[in-house]
Amino acid sequence: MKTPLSWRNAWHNKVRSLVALCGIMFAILLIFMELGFYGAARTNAIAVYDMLDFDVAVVSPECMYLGQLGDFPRHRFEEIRSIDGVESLSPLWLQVGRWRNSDTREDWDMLAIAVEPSERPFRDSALNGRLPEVAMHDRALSDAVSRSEYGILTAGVGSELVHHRIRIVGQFTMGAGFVAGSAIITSRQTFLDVFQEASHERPNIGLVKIAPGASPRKIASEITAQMSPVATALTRSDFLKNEQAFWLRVKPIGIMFQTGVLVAVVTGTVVLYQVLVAEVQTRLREYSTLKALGYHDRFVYSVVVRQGLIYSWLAFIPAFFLSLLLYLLVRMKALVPIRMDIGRVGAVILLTSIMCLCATLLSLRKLKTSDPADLF
Amino acid sequence: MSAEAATGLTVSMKRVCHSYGSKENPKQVLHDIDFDLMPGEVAILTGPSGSGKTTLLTLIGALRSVQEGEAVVLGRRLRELTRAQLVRLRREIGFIFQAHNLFESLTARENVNMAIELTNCDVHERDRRCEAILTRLGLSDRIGYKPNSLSGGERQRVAIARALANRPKLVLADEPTAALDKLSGREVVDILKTLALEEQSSVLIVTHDTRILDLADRIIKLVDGRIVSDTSVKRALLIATSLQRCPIFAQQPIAMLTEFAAFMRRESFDPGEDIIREGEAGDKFYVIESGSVEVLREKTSGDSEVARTTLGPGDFFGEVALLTGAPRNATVIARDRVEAFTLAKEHFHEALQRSKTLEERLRTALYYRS
Ligand SMILES: Nc1ncnc2c1ncn2[C@@H]1O[C@H](COP(=O)(O)OP(=O)(O)OP(=O)(O)O)[C@@H](O)[C@H]1O
Ligand SMILES: [Mg+2]
Repeated sequence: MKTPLSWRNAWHNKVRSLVALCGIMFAILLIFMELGFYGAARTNAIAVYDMLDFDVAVVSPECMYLGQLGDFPRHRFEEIRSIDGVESLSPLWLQVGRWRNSDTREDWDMLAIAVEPSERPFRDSALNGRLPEVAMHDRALSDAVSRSEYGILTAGVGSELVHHRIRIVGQFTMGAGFVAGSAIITSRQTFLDVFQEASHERPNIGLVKIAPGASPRKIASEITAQMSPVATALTRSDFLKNEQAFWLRVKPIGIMFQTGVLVAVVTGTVVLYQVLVAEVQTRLREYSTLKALGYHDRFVYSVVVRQGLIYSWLAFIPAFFLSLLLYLLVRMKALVPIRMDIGRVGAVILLTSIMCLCATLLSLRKLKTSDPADLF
Repeated sequence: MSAEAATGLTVSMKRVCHSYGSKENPKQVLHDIDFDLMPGEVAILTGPSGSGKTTLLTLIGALRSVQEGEAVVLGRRLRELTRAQLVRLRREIGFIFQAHNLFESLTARENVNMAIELTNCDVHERDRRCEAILTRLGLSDRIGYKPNSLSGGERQRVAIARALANRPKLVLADEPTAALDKLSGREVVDILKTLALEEQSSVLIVTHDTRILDLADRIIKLVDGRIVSDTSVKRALLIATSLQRCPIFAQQPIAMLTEFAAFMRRESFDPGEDIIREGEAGDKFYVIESGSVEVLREKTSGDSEVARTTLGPGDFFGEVALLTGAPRNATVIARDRVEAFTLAKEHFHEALQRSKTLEERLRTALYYRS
């Protein structure tokens, strides 16, 4: 084995190594957290839609996002059902209203999802099976992962939604979204009682299931052509993408996290650069000696680059495990659906490499000044 | 290339000049350097500070590019080499610096290995060579130590081990003993000398350290970027012993005699050639290295008879005319091929000036001779 000069250099000055490792680890951890929150935001943004079972969504052309859906006439449903490939179509009503915490008597935004209890609009068939429970007046299922401000939302609890008495009869699991910190599922009838301005005739979304093998894109465009201008249809993936794009691009949530990532990358780069420049400065004569011994310039550069890589990779490992721990804490304490995935690990490795590359390239400029003729 | 390689010289420099600074405002520090180094030769380069010794060393070591003149090192013409070739050439040269320049994070063994790893040798061979050289330098029990746990002398010896590990055919050292005490300095130079003998390596040492002068085969003196003297110690010894046989120089310290030797140039003469002619103005003093000459002098009695004397290696002639300023009082003809060292008039006087007593004795001697 060749003499591991970079490795030895990396650990020679203990304080410097520690600064490098901690600085870079912190930066990588920050990247993990920012990307984690970004990922959670993406998940959060479509938490409601993700629960729903549909291939194509029919909405009003005015539909912007979950908080501003618009509605369209139900009497045209038959036209949609008659389109080739459409298997079923169920209406859905969604609206945000003030929910009263029965203990503190404070009001909080609650997302109400209303279904026809006879239909099976959810992907979770167990949940579909429990829909008859809310068929009775003023009954609702509540989200088990709601924020604590909403008070206890277990079965048997009663409170008010827009001054209308509601009784919780069970729970489902969704997770707090961006429009509201909690959600309930009710029947269409309860919903219309609560929200006076809503109409039986004007649902907010039509959930279309298509025949196996049919093309959702083709059916969506057919529906759009048929229903224009009162409604428009989007495939499941387009519908979800639009919702994510709204929260992450139109709203500044995405920018926020991207800026956070950028700041973390810059921080890591600066720390690594400082450490490497200090290293090059103190070892300038040693690098010159390498050249005098007959090592090519590229070898001398690689000694520094490898040292940068050693710091980066070694900082990555604790940063990874720490972020797993922090994800767990955040998930448990803040109910943010933050999870590690392979893509994110890859992204962070990529960003770490970019960080390392920038820092070493910058520090190599300093190395160009090393001249073996100065050794004498 | 082959022409130089065929001469077998390790270093051959012809009319090498070097300037620092910009093109518009150059500062020339080396002027027309002619300089050869033979395999197995240990040469010492001295001269006042700023005379260009280090510059010359870095040129030979391919650490600086040659601007003007011709430099052939280890059979390669430096100006024709690419950057990469220059770097590879350095692998065949051992550099020893005044500062040890060791890799601080590496142990003695690893420092030496860094040099050996530039050659194609396997790990076992590497470790064997590394241990051998370190042991040879008396560092067998310090192999696993890093520079900051070694003494100054030990560090310098590790640096020397690193420079010599690949048995370079050329070793360039700049003040290698400056950081060392007398004993370790001596040791270091002894090692260099042994390497030169065993491997027929050429060693060029820049030094002001007079304690190591005796190791040199040659002493080169640089002043203001010019070689003012390039003395073979053997030659100096020949000249000095010759001079000692002459009554006028006999009592002089050997240092004085080598001073003369330093100024002397080598000249050769064909058989039958007149070396000096009677009646001409004298401008040189001669010491015969090899061959023999005949001295023809008209008898003082005035007849046409001539006195003939034969002189051989170690003999000298021509000093009288130089000293008195009178025309040559004899003719000297080469009998066969003659190699002689000559001392020009101005150098002769320069050396004389340095010793009044010598001049007096010279005059007395001349009195007896004439
Ligand atoms: N890199 C450089 N740039 C400009 N001038 C230089 C440079 N290196 C040396 N010089 C000048 O060139 C001249 C010769 O320097 P050099 O270092 O060769 O002298 P030296 O004989 O080795 O002196 P010393 O015995 O003090 O080491 C000096 O006048 C010096 O100031
Ligand atoms: Mg010098």
